[in-house]
Amino acid sequence: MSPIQFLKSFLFQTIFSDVVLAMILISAEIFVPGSVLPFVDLVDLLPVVLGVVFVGVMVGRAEG
Amino acid sequence: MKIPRAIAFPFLALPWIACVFAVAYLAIQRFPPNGIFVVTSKMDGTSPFANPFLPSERVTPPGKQAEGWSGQRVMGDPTYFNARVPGPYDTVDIDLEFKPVHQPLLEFGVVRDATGNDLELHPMYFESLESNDWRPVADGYVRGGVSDSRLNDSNPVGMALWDASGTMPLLQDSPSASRKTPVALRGTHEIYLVPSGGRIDIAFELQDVNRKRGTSVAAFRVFRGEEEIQREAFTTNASRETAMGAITDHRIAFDATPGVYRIRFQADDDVFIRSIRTTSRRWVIGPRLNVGDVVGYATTTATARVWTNSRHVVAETFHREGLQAVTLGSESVKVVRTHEVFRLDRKDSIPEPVKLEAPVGDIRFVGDGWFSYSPEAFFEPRPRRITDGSNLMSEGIEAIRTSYTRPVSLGDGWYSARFSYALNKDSDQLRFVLSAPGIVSRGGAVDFRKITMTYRRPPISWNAWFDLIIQEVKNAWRRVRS
Repeated sequence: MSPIQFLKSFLFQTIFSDVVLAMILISAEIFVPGSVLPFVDLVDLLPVVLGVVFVGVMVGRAEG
Repeated sequence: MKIPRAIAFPFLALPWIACVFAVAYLAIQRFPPNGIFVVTSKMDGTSPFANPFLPSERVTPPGKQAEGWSGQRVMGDPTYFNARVPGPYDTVDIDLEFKPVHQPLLEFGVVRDATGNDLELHPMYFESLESNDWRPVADGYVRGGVSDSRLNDSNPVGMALWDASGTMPLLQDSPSASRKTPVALRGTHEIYLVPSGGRIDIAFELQDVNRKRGTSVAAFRVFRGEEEIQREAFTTNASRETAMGAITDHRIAFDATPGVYRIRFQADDDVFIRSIRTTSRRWVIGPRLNVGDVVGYATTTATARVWTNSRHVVAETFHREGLQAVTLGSESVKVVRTHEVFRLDRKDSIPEPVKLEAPVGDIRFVGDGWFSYSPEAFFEPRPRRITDGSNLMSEGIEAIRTSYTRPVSLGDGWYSARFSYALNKDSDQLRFVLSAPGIVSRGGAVDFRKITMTYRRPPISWNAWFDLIIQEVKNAWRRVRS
């Protein structure tokens, strides 16, 4: 597996698992209010999201 | 360069492993294995589980205060805060770190229903009981030099109650002739009597003044101590026109064992008691005495003249004709506005009942003691209630029956008080209420710097975890449907 392929796969797995996690957490917060939001600081998650976006852009540029 | 699959695949699994850990972390927060979930709020408005005190016009903004400390200051009464319940728990313990400032009495409680009617208040702080003159005993406190058994004494004189019930004194008087007392009592009242010659015999002249057209429903309920022994409801004979209804008699008579009997007359303010005729030598009314007007009934005003052991009385009138100077013993206050409460606070230390007089009547009194229409008829049916104005020394109080536990002193005027409440498994939110009576008039305050809430349920076990999940699913379904 080439490094670019690995990065693409890693990015795909990261985004896909995050989407699944987000769906689980949003459902949990809807059905059981206070089960997620008090323990998750959305502002702290921002750097992670930005990091994923940055890696995605870099991978796209490397392929293109 | 190639990355071997043996290295790449574990790396690709990392995001999923992180997700599993995130879900597991949240599940452990929701279902702590030891069954204990602790919430700590520094009263700075950042806790997701304990909100600051409200309403905002009675409290300062949470956080850094002008004096440099961090927390929230309460300056009005009543106030409350909401707490989010983190799941189906059995009980919650609340530890409050507070500092009373010129506020002698505090009560704290929980609201049990959505409408706020089911309020359960408990003693939180009483400045007078912080003194070493008082020592805690089972069921209350007694003054130094007073026997522990004083609290079990049924004599209510010198005894006070705070969130507790007393022992009924077994009183009995010798037979007496029936005596009629003209009164003008409006609406609901409670009358306490001592049986005379082994009987209770009391008759009321009732009249529906018909200011609200049509009949009214009224009821008499008779209690011996706390036990209800009779109940009778009836409709008044008011007409559909505006004329006053005819005066009717209602008599309650039965053989009675020694004790204190309470007759609760329940009616709206359209129904007046015009006279009370009883064979009881001792009978009192209280803690509410509503002396109504006599418009359309008599041409002379009905002076309110009663005797009371109340140390603190509030007076209020709803008509301009009721504006007057009210005297309580040597104290006096001018009721100069309608629909406003005026206070009378005795500073003397006279143990006997004193005269309370309102020359033109048409006034409502609420006291911390009882009222009688003659000094000879006065007696104390039960110990007096502790209020924010209670002065234990001048009132001659030597024992207090109460559930109060002294808060722990943390130094520098700060205290820590603990309360425990049972929870409904389907509660999503709790509302706690702080009562600081008289805080506005005396310019007092209560500072809060920390609230710790400890939710408890049995530790998770193989037998219990499924019930817990079922309860969560039931609650989720209820939330979705509501």
